[in-house]
Amino acid sequence: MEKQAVLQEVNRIFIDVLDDEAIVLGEETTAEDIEEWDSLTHVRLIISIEKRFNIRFTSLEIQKFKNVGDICEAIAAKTE
Amino acid sequence: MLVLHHIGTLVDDIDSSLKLYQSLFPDGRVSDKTYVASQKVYVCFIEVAPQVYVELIEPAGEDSVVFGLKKKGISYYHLSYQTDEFEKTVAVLLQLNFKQINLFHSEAFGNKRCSFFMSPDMHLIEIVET
Repeated sequence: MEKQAVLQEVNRIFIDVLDDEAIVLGEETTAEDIEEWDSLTHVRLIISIEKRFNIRFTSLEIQKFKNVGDICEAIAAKTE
Repeated sequence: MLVLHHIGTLVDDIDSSLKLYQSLFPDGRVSDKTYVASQKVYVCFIEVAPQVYVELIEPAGEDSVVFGLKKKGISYYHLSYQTDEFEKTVAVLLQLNFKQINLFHSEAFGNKRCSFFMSPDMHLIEIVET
Protein backbone atom coordinates (compact mmCIF):
# COMPACT_ATOMS: atom_id res chain seq x y z
CA MET A 1 0.00 0.00 0.00
CA GLU A 2 1.39 3.40 -0.95
CA LYS A 3 2.33 5.79 1.79
CA GLN A 4 -0.09 8.54 0.69
CA ALA A 5 -3.00 6.10 0.70
CA VAL A 6 -1.90 4.89 4.12
CA LEU A 7 -1.79 8.47 5.39
CA GLN A 8 -5.34 9.09 4.16
CA GLU A 9 -6.61 5.96 5.88
CA VAL A 10 -4.74 6.79 9.08
CA ASN A 11 -6.30 10.26 8.94
CA ARG A 12 -9.75 8.64 8.84
CA ILE A 13 -8.87 6.49 11.84
CA PHE A 14 -7.74 9.55 13.81
CA ILE A 15 -11.00 11.31 12.96
CA ASP A 16 -13.02 8.30 14.15
CA VAL A 17 -11.07 7.62 17.34
CA LEU A 18 -10.72 11.25 18.37
CA ASP A 19 -14.19 12.14 17.09
CA ASP A 20 -12.86 15.25 15.37
CA GLU A 21 -13.68 15.79 11.70
CA ALA A 22 -11.25 18.70 11.54
CA ILE A 23 -8.12 16.60 11.94
CA VAL A 24 -5.75 16.85 9.00
CA LEU A 25 -2.59 14.82 9.45
CA GLY A 26 0.77 15.31 7.84
CA GLU A 27 3.82 13.12 8.10
CA GLU A 28 5.34 15.51 10.63
CA THR A 29 2.25 15.61 12.86
CA THR A 30 3.01 14.59 16.45
CA ALA A 31 1.01 14.24 19.66
CA GLU A 32 2.08 17.79 20.48
CA ASP A 33 -0.07 19.02 17.57
CA ILE A 34 -3.32 17.30 18.61
CA GLU A 35 -4.65 18.06 22.07
CA GLU A 36 -6.60 14.81 22.46
CA TRP A 37 -3.64 12.61 21.47
CA ASP A 38 -2.49 11.48 24.91
CA SER A 39 -0.92 8.18 25.99
CA LEU A 40 -4.21 6.33 26.31
CA THR A 41 -5.51 7.66 23.02
CA HIS A 42 -2.23 6.68 21.38
CA VAL A 43 -2.85 3.05 22.29
CA ARG A 44 -6.44 3.24 21.04
CA LEU A 45 -5.16 4.65 17.74
CA ILE A 46 -2.59 1.88 17.41
CA ILE A 47 -5.18 -0.83 18.10
CA SER A 48 -7.55 0.72 15.56
CA ILE A 49 -4.77 0.87 12.98
CA GLU A 50 -3.85 -2.75 13.63
CA LYS A 51 -7.46 -3.82 13.09
CA ARG A 52 -7.94 -1.73 9.95
CA PHE A 53 -4.77 -2.94 8.25
CA ASN A 54 -4.79 -6.42 9.80
CA ILE A 55 -1.26 -6.00 11.09
CA ARG A 56 0.42 -6.14 14.48
CA PHE A 57 3.00 -3.83 16.02
CA THR A 58 5.47 -4.87 18.68
CA SER A 59 5.93 -2.77 21.81
CA LEU A 60 9.35 -1.74 20.49
CA GLU A 61 7.88 -0.53 17.20
CA ILE A 62 5.22 1.46 19.02
CA GLN A 63 7.81 3.09 21.27
CA LYS A 64 9.80 4.22 18.22
CA PHE A 65 6.89 6.08 16.60
CA LYS A 66 7.76 9.78 16.81
CA ASN A 67 5.22 11.14 14.36
CA VAL A 68 2.49 10.15 11.91
CA GLY A 69 5.08 9.56 9.18
CA ASP A 70 6.74 6.87 11.29
CA ILE A 71 3.40 5.13 11.79
CA CYS A 72 2.59 5.29 8.06
CA GLU A 73 6.01 3.94 7.11
CA ALA A 74 5.57 1.00 9.46
CA ILE A 75 2.09 0.28 8.05
CA ALA A 76 3.36 0.51 4.46
CA ALA A 77 6.19 -1.90 5.26
CA LYS A 78 3.80 -4.42 6.80
CA THR A 79 1.27 -4.22 3.96
CA GLU A 80 3.67 -4.51 1.02
CA MET B 1 -2.96 -16.24 38.33
CA LEU B 2 -4.98 -13.04 38.23
CA VAL B 3 -7.18 -12.05 41.14
CA LEU B 4 -9.59 -9.17 40.82
CA HIS B 5 -8.60 -6.45 43.25
CA HIS B 6 -10.46 -3.29 42.29
CA ILE B 7 -12.51 -1.28 39.82
CA GLY B 8 -10.96 2.09 39.11
CA THR B 9 -13.31 5.05 38.96
CA LEU B 10 -12.61 8.73 38.45
CA VAL B 11 -14.03 11.28 40.84
CA ASP B 12 -13.81 15.03 41.28
CA ASP B 13 -13.30 14.83 45.00
CA ILE B 14 -12.33 11.70 46.90
CA ASP B 15 -13.62 12.89 50.26
CA SER B 16 -17.14 13.60 49.08
CA SER B 17 -17.28 10.47 46.92
CA LEU B 18 -16.04 8.36 49.81
CA LYS B 19 -18.92 9.58 51.98
CA LEU B 20 -21.38 8.27 49.38
CA TYR B 21 -19.65 4.90 49.14
CA GLN B 22 -19.48 4.61 52.92
CA SER B 23 -23.23 5.16 53.02
CA LEU B 24 -23.64 2.22 50.64
CA PHE B 25 -20.95 0.03 52.20
CA PRO B 26 -20.76 1.03 55.86
CA ASP B 27 -18.78 -2.09 56.77
CA GLY B 28 -16.33 -1.76 53.88
CA ARG B 29 -12.72 -1.22 54.84
CA VAL B 30 -11.27 2.09 53.68
CA SER B 31 -7.63 2.78 52.86
CA ASP B 32 -5.73 5.95 53.49
CA LYS B 33 -5.86 8.58 50.76
CA THR B 34 -2.56 8.23 48.88
CA TYR B 35 -0.81 10.38 46.29
CA VAL B 36 0.60 8.36 43.37
CA ALA B 37 3.26 10.66 42.02
CA SER B 38 3.94 9.00 38.67
CA GLN B 39 0.27 9.17 37.74
CA LYS B 40 -0.39 12.51 39.43
CA VAL B 41 -3.51 11.23 41.15
CA TYR B 42 -4.86 10.81 44.65
CA VAL B 43 -6.40 7.40 45.30
CA CYS B 44 -8.43 5.75 48.04
CA PHE B 45 -9.87 2.24 48.21
CA ILE B 46 -13.15 1.13 49.75
CA GLU B 47 -14.08 -2.53 50.05
CA VAL B 48 -17.36 -3.31 48.29
CA ALA B 49 -17.16 -7.13 48.43
CA PRO B 50 -14.78 -9.47 50.22
CA GLN B 51 -11.28 -8.47 49.04
CA VAL B 52 -12.72 -6.43 46.15
CA TYR B 53 -12.49 -2.66 46.17
CA VAL B 54 -13.58 0.43 44.32
CA GLU B 55 -10.62 2.70 43.77
CA LEU B 56 -11.59 6.34 43.89
CA ILE B 57 -9.18 8.30 41.72
CA GLU B 58 -8.94 12.06 41.82
CA PRO B 59 -6.73 13.78 39.22
CA ALA B 60 -4.22 16.02 41.01
CA GLY B 61 -4.09 18.49 38.14
CA GLU B 62 -4.59 19.01 34.45
CA ASP B 63 -1.32 17.18 33.69
CA SER B 64 -2.58 14.02 35.40
CA VAL B 65 -2.67 11.00 33.10
CA VAL B 66 -6.42 10.64 33.72
CA PHE B 67 -7.43 14.27 33.47
CA GLY B 68 -8.47 13.82 29.83
CA LEU B 69 -10.72 10.89 30.72
CA LYS B 70 -12.35 12.80 33.54
CA LYS B 71 -12.92 15.77 31.24
CA LYS B 72 -14.73 13.46 28.80
CA GLY B 73 -17.07 12.35 31.58
CA ILE B 74 -15.64 8.86 31.87
CA SER B 75 -16.05 7.39 35.35
CA TYR B 76 -15.42 3.63 35.59
CA TYR B 77 -12.41 3.00 33.44
CA HIS B 78 -10.27 0.06 34.53
CA LEU B 79 -10.24 -3.29 36.26
CA SER B 80 -7.22 -4.12 38.35
CA TYR B 81 -5.90 -7.60 39.03
CA GLN B 82 -3.25 -8.75 41.45
CA THR B 83 -0.72 -11.32 40.38
CA ASP B 84 2.08 -13.12 42.16
CA GLU B 85 3.74 -13.77 38.77
CA PHE B 86 4.20 -10.24 37.50
CA GLU B 87 6.75 -10.87 34.71
CA LYS B 88 4.93 -13.96 33.48
CA THR B 89 1.63 -12.08 33.41
CA VAL B 90 3.20 -9.24 31.42
CA ALA B 91 4.57 -11.77 28.91
CA VAL B 92 1.19 -13.49 28.58
CA LEU B 93 -0.65 -10.20 28.05
CA LEU B 94 1.84 -9.08 25.39
CA GLN B 95 1.51 -12.45 23.69
CA LEU B 96 -2.26 -11.89 23.61
CA ASN B 97 -1.61 -8.51 21.93
CA PHE B 98 -2.50 -6.39 24.92
CA LYS B 99 -0.66 -3.07 24.61
CA GLN B 100 1.42 -2.05 27.60
CA ILE B 101 0.84 1.59 28.44
CA ASN B 102 3.11 2.11 31.41
CA LEU B 103 5.01 0.48 34.24
CA PHE B 104 5.39 2.21 37.57
CA HIS B 105 5.84 1.68 41.27
CA SER B 106 2.70 2.67 43.14
CA GLU B 107 2.69 4.31 46.54
CA ALA B 108 -0.83 2.89 46.94
CA PHE B 109 0.60 -0.65 46.96
CA GLY B 110 3.75 -0.19 49.01
CA ASN B 111 5.72 0.82 45.91
CA LYS B 112 5.09 -2.51 44.24
CA ARG B 113 5.04 -2.68 40.45
CA CYS B 114 1.90 -1.80 38.53
CA SER B 115 1.29 -1.75 34.81
CA PHE B 116 -1.63 -0.68 32.66
CA PHE B 117 -2.56 -2.56 29.50
CA MET B 118 -5.21 -2.09 26.84
CA SER B 119 -6.80 -5.20 25.40
CA PRO B 120 -7.47 -5.63 21.67
CA ASP B 121 -11.08 -4.77 22.57
CA MET B 122 -9.80 -1.55 24.16
CA HIS B 123 -10.57 -2.59 27.71
CA LEU B 124 -8.17 -1.03 30.16
CA ILE B 125 -6.73 -3.28 32.84
CA GLU B 126 -4.06 -2.87 35.48
CA ILE B 127 -1.93 -5.59 36.97
CA VAL B 128 -0.46 -5.18 40.43
CA GLU B 129 2.36 -7.18 41.92
CA THR B 130 1.34 -8.97 45.10
